[in-house]
Amino acid sequence: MRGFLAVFEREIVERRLLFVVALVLGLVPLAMPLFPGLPAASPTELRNGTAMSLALVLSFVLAVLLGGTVIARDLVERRFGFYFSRPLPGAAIWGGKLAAAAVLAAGAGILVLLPTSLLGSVPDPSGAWGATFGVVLSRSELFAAWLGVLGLVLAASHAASVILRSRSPWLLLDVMALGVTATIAWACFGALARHGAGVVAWTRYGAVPFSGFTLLQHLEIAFLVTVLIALAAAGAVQVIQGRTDLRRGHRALSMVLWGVLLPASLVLAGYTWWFETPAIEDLVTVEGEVPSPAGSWIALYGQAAHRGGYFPGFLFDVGSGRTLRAGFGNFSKDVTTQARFSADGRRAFWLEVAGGDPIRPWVAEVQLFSLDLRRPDASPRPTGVVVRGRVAAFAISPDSRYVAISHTDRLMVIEIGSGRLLASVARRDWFFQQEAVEFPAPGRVRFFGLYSSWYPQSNRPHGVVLSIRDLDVATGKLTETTVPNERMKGMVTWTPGPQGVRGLWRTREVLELRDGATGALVARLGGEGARASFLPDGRVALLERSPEGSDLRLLDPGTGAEVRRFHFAGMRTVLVADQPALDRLRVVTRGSGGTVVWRLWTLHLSTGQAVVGPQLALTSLPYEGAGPWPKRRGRDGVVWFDVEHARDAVLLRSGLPAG
Amino acid sequence: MNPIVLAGLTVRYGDRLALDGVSLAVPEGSVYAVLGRNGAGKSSLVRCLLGEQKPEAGRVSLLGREVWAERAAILAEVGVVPEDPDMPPTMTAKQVARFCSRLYPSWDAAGVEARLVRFGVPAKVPFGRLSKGQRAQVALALALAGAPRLLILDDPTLGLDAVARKAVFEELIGELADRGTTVLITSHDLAGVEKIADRVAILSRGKLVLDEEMDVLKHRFRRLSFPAQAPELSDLAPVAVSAHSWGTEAVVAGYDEERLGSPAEGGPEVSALTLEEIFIALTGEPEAGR
Repeated sequence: MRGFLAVFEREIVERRLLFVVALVLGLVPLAMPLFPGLPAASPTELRNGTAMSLALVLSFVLAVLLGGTVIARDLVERRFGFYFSRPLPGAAIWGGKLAAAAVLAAGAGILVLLPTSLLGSVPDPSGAWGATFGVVLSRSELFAAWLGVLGLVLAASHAASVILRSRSPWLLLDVMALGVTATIAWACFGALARHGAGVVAWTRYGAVPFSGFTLLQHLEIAFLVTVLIALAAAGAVQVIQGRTDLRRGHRALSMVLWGVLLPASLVLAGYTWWFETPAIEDLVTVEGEVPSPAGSWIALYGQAAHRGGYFPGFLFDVGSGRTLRAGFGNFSKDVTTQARFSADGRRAFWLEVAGGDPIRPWVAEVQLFSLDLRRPDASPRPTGVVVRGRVAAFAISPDSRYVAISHTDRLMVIEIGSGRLLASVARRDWFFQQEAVEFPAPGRVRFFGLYSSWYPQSNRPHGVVLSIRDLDVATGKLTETTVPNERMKGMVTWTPGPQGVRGLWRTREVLELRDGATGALVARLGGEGARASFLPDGRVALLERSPEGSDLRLLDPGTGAEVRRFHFAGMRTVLVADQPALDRLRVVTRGSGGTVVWRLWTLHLSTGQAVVGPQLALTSLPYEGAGPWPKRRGRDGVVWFDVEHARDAVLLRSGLPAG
Repeated sequence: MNPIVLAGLTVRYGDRLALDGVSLAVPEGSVYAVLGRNGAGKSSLVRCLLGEQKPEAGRVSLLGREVWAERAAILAEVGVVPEDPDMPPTMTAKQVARFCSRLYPSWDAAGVEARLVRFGVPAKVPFGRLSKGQRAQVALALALAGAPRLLILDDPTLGLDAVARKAVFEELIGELADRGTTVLITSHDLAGVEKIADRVAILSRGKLVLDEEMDVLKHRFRRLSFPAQAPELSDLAPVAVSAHSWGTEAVVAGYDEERLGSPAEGGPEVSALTLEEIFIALTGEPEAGR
């Protein structure tokens, strides 16, 4: 310790003039408000901003200069023997010199801030200047980050200086190892960011516990700390082992530095691989699901355990149990998270980020992928459809030949096979919270956009606009229908039916069937709590509950008139499972009054016959979601009911977050 | 216990062998001079002694301890004067002395001050502005201030003028007379070394070619001048024989007075050799200054 302090003090005393320079520099911000032509900020903010900028610049410049000279220059100028011919341990020499350099750099930065602080306005990064430069950290966090980065710059500058000054062949190894490490780190952090590790995760159950830093930030900090430790250890070993021999020191430094960083990069690569390859069992929530209109496939996405904001998408065949992870679902709450099935249920389509800047989805390149669901050995295939920008909605034409995409600034129709752009219209002035596109007829695309000024805490009526725009693919002509601004309470949703011919308009107080082309009211289906969904053939299934039981009413989409009604006496819950044939519908029911028995029914729509099936081995749990497949959640996670085989398919074994 | 022991010391720089299995032992209280031409390996040897250079093979122990592993602890009892005094150029002698005083268990601050006064070195002038001689004198003053059991002097008079050289050696002689400190010195100033060294080692191309007491060395080396053709001298270990117009001159390493007889008896004229002459005879060529 005595040696460390002696070296430390010597370095500080030798460079004490830096403190004086910093103090003088600290007077500059005080004069800033006197200069004409500066940004229109208050004098306090101008002083604070200038002081913080000068402090940062000075401290980092000093860190680079001191890190590169305090040891390396002594070595090159053959003055390092002064220390090694004295009873000074190598660690004390290294520690004393580097600690002094750190104190000089940090101290100079603090001294620059001192005059401004003494004037009564302690520079605060959360002020206007902080906002200008996007500083989101608190003062103490920023201070800690500044010290950490300062240490990193200092240690890196020292290592670089030793490496470059030694002019040893080991420089080649350094360059190669740096290239490998940087490439791995860049690729891994890029992949992690692309997969949502940098996203604060919000699920339908609420926010995932959030410590103030995203998973990606935690990983980046951990990696930087590892780099800092590696640089510091390498610098120490360079002095302790290399002593006055610069080349031997360089060799020792390189061995330690890359001996730590290369394995650390491999660990990061391994973690990234693990992060990117969750199984369906790793899902802890299901955020969205799309059942195939025919067959037993479901496309779903949800949050994966221990993976921050990663919401991987899966295609899941409930019948065979086959799962396939697909590239949709990466961005939380984005419509691109959804997959689409062809009308015959034979193919699945989805969009994946394929290039550009994956961290900024609004400029990313996304590509349409497809999978042939009939072939067990089929793998996802990229199509020729590639667009740049954030995709808000897309739809596949009934014949699976075309895709309609609504993205950042255009509404486009593209031929899937060739990637040929068939129609494209600008949509610069369109801003909607919910968007959907459908193919109502051959050669025609319908766009739905819903804008609502509602926010969750409000109980006051708010304005809602539903905009419907039809695009003629052949002429590129766009016709627009805007449903007049309506004022209503609570959240409003618009769910288009098959091909966008009709839609379900739900507010907090009403459920309505509306025309897809004009938004005009077709039929009022119910009040608060009413539930309805479209069957694959376009008809509407409306569920009504009464003290005697439940009724499933099938409505004609053209008029909203009832075409068939099934009464389930004593049944409290009725869930539409699927429509295996045009004439058949399967539902599951659960009795009331403490009964926990689930039953499967097959309904013949043309005759009105209801055939009750076997009692199902389902545990009674609250109904969850509004999809046509029965789904429940509980201690074991989410269970899907396989209607075909009348059995449970446990998808998610992990526990769900409380909420 | 010998304060300095080198066993099989080998140092290599790439393909070049700087020291080749050098072994020597410096007795306690002696002044041991290591001589050699430029590139002979002296600096490598000193660097190994100070624990700055890790040898490829062999062992270096100072004061009974392995120097690479225990350098810092050992140097608390060792005074060092480097070949090129390397104090930070902005520090004054006073500041360096203060810095060093915190590192040694005992420190004679008054002694340093007195020596600097004696040498005429200004204590408050930055080291970078001192003359070469003054730097060496500061280095020597500092080396002696820690009451060292061992002094390692790496060519302390290199580049100094005659007055400065004299001052350095006089200081050393005084120090040795006072304390009996063990000294290892490398130097090109053979006349100066001759005055203080008890034992001499000569390095040539990394090998130790001589390691002997000074008195014995000077006794067995003689210059023989024969007025005519020299007789057979092989049993006297001739190291150099040269023919002149006036006769033959030979330098022998195994002089035997009884065997040759006096000039009156027809024997050769015999003269003693200086250390420098012995060094030249052994290393083959006149010593070239650096």
